Formats: sequence, C-alpha cells, structure tokens
Amino acid sequence: MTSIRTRLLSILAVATAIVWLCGVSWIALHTQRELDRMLDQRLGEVGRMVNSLLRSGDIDPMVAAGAAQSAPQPTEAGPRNFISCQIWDAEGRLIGRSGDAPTEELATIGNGFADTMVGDQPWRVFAIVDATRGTRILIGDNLQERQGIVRQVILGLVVPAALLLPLLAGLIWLSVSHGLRPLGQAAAALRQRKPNDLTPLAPAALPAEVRPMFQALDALLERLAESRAQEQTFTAFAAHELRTPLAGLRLQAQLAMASGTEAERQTALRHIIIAVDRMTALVRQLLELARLDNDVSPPDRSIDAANLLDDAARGMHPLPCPLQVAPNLRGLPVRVDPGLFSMTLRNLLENAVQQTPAGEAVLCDAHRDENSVIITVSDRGPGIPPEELQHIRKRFFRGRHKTVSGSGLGLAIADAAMRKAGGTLRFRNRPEGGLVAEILLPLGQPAS
Amino acid sequence: MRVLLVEDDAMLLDGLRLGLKMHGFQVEAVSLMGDAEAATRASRFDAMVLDIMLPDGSGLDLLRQLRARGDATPVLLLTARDAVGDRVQGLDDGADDYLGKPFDLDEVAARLRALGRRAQGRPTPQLIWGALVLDPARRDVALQGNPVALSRREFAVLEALMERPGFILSREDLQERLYGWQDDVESNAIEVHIHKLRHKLGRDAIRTLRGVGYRMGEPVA
Repeated sequence: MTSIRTRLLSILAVATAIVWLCGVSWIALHTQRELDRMLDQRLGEVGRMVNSLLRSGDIDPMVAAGAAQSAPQPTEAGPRNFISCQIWDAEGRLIGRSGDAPTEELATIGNGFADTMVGDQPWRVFAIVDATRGTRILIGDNLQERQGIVRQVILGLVVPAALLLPLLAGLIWLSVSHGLRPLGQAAAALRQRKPNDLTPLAPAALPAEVRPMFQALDALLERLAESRAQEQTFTAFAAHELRTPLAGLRLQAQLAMASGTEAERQTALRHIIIAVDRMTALVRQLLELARLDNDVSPPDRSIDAANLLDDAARGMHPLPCPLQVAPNLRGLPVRVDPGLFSMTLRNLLENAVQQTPAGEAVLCDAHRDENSVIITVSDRGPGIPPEELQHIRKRFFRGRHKTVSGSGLGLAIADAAMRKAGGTLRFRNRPEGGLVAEILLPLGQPAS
Repeated sequence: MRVLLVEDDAMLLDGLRLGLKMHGFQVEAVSLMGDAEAATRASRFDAMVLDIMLPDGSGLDLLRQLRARGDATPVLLLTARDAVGDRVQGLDDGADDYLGKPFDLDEVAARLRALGRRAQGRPTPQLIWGALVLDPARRDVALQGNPVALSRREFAVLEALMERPGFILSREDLQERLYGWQDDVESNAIEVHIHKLRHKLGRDAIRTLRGVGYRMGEPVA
C-alpha cells in the first residue's frame, strides 16, 4: 500500500470529478429541454403576434415580419436575436421576411412545429396558416444558435469547476497532511527515544482515526514497562540471592588461608565446594525461571502417563527415590508438556531431598483418580509451618526450615512450570511430619 | 569482645563464627530473629552483627526494638542489600555501621573493634593501663615495652578488665565474656586464668575483691 495521502487524494479527486460531470450532464440536458420548451413557446407567441398584425389591418407584410425580431430575448446569454420570420401568400410567394431570414422556405408543413433542414442548417419552425387570407406565417429558430446558448450555460458551469478542482485538491492535501501529522510526530518521537524509555507517547489533540492506534501503542508500552519492572525486581533479587553464597565463599576462602590446622583448612575447602554447588544450582534455577517467564505456552498435547514418568525419571540421575508407578497408568493419556513436567518433578524432588534428614527416604509414587493422574512426592522433613504454606510458591521465599543449599526458588519454579504445563500443584503437611507435594495432571484424549 | 552474630545463612554463620573467633572475639551465633531477641534480653554483648533478611522477620525490626528499649549495643548490619538507600535506612534505624555482602573477614573484625572502642569512648585503639599496653587488633600485650605471651582466654580476661579499668567484673561477667553458652566451664576456670595473669604481669596487676569480683590494680609506672 502506498501513501494514504496519494490514495485519498486520487479517490477524492476522481469522485469529485465524477459527481461534477454527472451534475454538468444533467444540467446540460435539463437546460436543453427547458430552452427548447421556452423557445418553442416563444416561436408560437411570435407567430400569433405576426398573424394578428397581418389581420388587424393593412400592414406591410415586410414590417409585420420585421416585428418578429422585437420579441424578447430568450436568455441574456444569447448573442443576438436570431428569430426568423417568413410570410408566404396563397400563391406561394414570399411576401414578407425578417431582416436576416433566409429566402428559402423554412418548412412546408401546415399549423404546428417541425424540425427542418434549410440548406445545411437545422431549424425549428412554427407555422400558422390563415385559411381566409391564404397566408402562411413561418417562425423559425436556427438550432445552431440554440446550441450556442446551451454551450454557454455548460461553459459557465465547467469553468469554475475546472478552477475549483485544483483548489479542492490542495485543500484535501493540506487537511490530510494535517490529520496525519501526529503519526509523523509520533514516529519522530519514537526514533529519538532512548531504548529504556517506556513512558506513554500520549500526543496531544489526536484525530479520532489515529487515536486507537496510539492507545494500543501506549498500552503496549505500559505492558512492556511493567514486564521490564518485574524483570528488574527479579534481577535485583537474584543478585542479592547470589551475594550471600558469594559472601560465604569469600569467607571460607579467607578461613582456609588463615586456618592453623589442616583439619580446619579441609573444612573450609569443603564449605567452598558446597557454596559453589549452591550457586550453580541457583544459577540453573534462575535460568529455568527466565525460561518459564519468556517461553510461550507449550502446545496442548496428550502423552502416555507411564512413558512420561519413565522419561522424567531417566532424565534425573541419580533419582533420589524409586518412582512407584501404579500399573493402571500404562496407556493412560495425560495432557502436559513433558519438559515442564520434568522440571516440576526435579525441583520437587530436590526440595524433598534437602528437607529429608540423612538416612530417611523420600517417597514418590504415581496413581490415578477419576479425572487426573496424581504424582506424589513426600519427604520426612519438618514440613512447612501452616502460616508459611501460602508463601512457599513465591520466588526467593525461604521459610523457617530452610536448608543451607536452598535458594527459595525450587517450589516457585515447580509451581510456575506446572501452571504453564496445564497441571496443578498442591502442598500439604503430613500429619506425622514432612511435606507432601502433589502434581495433578489432567487426563487427555487417547492417542488416535 | 563478646559478639552476637545473627545470620540465617548456615555457611556464613559458621564461617563468621570461626573467623571472628580466630580474631579473638567471643561469638554467640543465632539464625532467627526470635533467638536474637531472646539473647539480647538475656545478656549483654559488646557488639552485634545483624543480617537484615531473616526467615522470621527483618533485622531492622529487631534493631528498632532494641533501640526502643534503650539497648545501646553497637550494631553492625551485614547484608546483601547495600544500596545507598538501604544503608541510610539501616543507619537511621539505629545501626552503628553497615557492611555489604560479600565482605572481608578482617574488615568485619576491624569494624567490630572500632565499634567497641567507640562504645567505650576510648580514643586509642590500644588499651593502656600504666605500663601495660594491650592491642586488640594485633592481639598482643606488652609490659614496660616487653611483650608478654598470653593464652587466648588470659588475653580475653585481661581485655575485659582493661576495657573499663575502674570497674569490677564478677566471675560470672568474665565467664560470660569468655565462654559460649554451649561451652562446659570448670567452676574455677576464671580463678586459674587470673592466677596465670598475675604470674605473668605481677601480683598487683589484678585485684580481687572478695565475694564481688575483680578489677585492675593500681597502674604501674
């Protein structure tokens, strides 16, 4: 699509020209008809006038014919009085005619109107026959003269139109330019913007036609600013979270250097390794969260529940606990994204392992109920205080029973991944102690 | 110096406890705000190292509570949040110093010593009593210019007494200064340390007030 301005201008110009032409044609036709009617009427009047002059007394037929030309002008636009009059006697002699009337007989008809050709000229003729005296009065208009009048009227319409059309085009051009100016201004403003400037454009005095676009653009900017702010908060949080293990790392390194005994040095070095592992896990989790925040939703598809669990277990080495899969899950389709499911399961298992005291087992099983497959991960840890249960899905939340290696992100990731994957995540405390995490996967359509 | 360490990160807590001990501090370490609150009520500390983000609340709340009940224990805030705004907020809430993570162990120790010095209104970094000079930073003692070798505990007893030379410290005060809550203390441990100090510094260096406690003797020229 080319310039709106050019398109608009050409459409308007063509439309205006067409409307004008139609108007002019109609006026031309109408004028022609009206003029014909009016001039015919005049021919009749003039004929009757000459006839009555002849009848009223002894008047020279030449004078009577000349009087025809004193009839009122048909229009002011007429170049001259072009009416012609002939008077013929019973013997067929031309006894009187107006000054410029041709000598050739205008028409051979009786009473009434006729279109005739005299020489090569078309004429409109009115005839009156006086039966008692035997005279014929012929009153005629040269049709070329009549056309001249119509031409003048048309010309009077076309000339201003021809002058007005460019003026109109100029006005249209100006008004379209004016209407489109906010677009240009906005484009310039956007070009000059710094990349981190996400304030709304909100240009003043917008035409209604472009307003929706700017509103949409501003809404987009607002959403961008929001997500940017969220990202910044997240980054700040992540940076802070990294600082504590970094501080531990530095401290332990200093202790290793300053310690007097080999045992102390070994302890410090072991702590350094733990701190590095912790930071590695934190970085992996930050990446997972970033992926969850940015990826589009996975396609909705069904997958065999048993295969899903097998694949997830195979992806985790070593698996902290044997996964008890109920036999009736084989061949049962569930609707979930396998990658997101694995991410959820891994984070839940890691959390369970962290919470469980050494020597105790993490339990993990999968079974089905009426409309979902439920994967349960339960640990033998301290559980989560009831007042903290509502917070455990928050990012960087670390409760009272937190562990050294926890980041406060595991359950947040599990929750975000499950929500994106189409499943549900539930937490509850076991009465005998420990946390139970349940993944609920909706049953899908059997693969066809 | 006896220091209360409040930090929820187990590795940092452990490392700081060990590191500050190496610098001659007696450290009590807790990881919850509630425990810290209880500790400040139960006994007196010469300084406190406080993390802001604790699992059961904000360290700043603890700080405000502390100041509200008139406790002037010097507080060093140690936290991951160290933007200017955070530092200003922390100091205005009653902290005496502020250190962002990660930090240098030596700097933490130096700042704690400075806090202790300021709290005692002492102009010099060394503790001086007559011809006796104790340097808390270098952890050495000199009598009339000659270095005196002291054990860690002996040094701590002497330091406690020299911080406020005119004051009498009871056996319990000294015990609290020297030992953590978990440590098993022999009932005559303090007497043993005092005895050894007198042996190294002279009989009159430390005076015993029967049934009350100990204080520094008259300064020796």
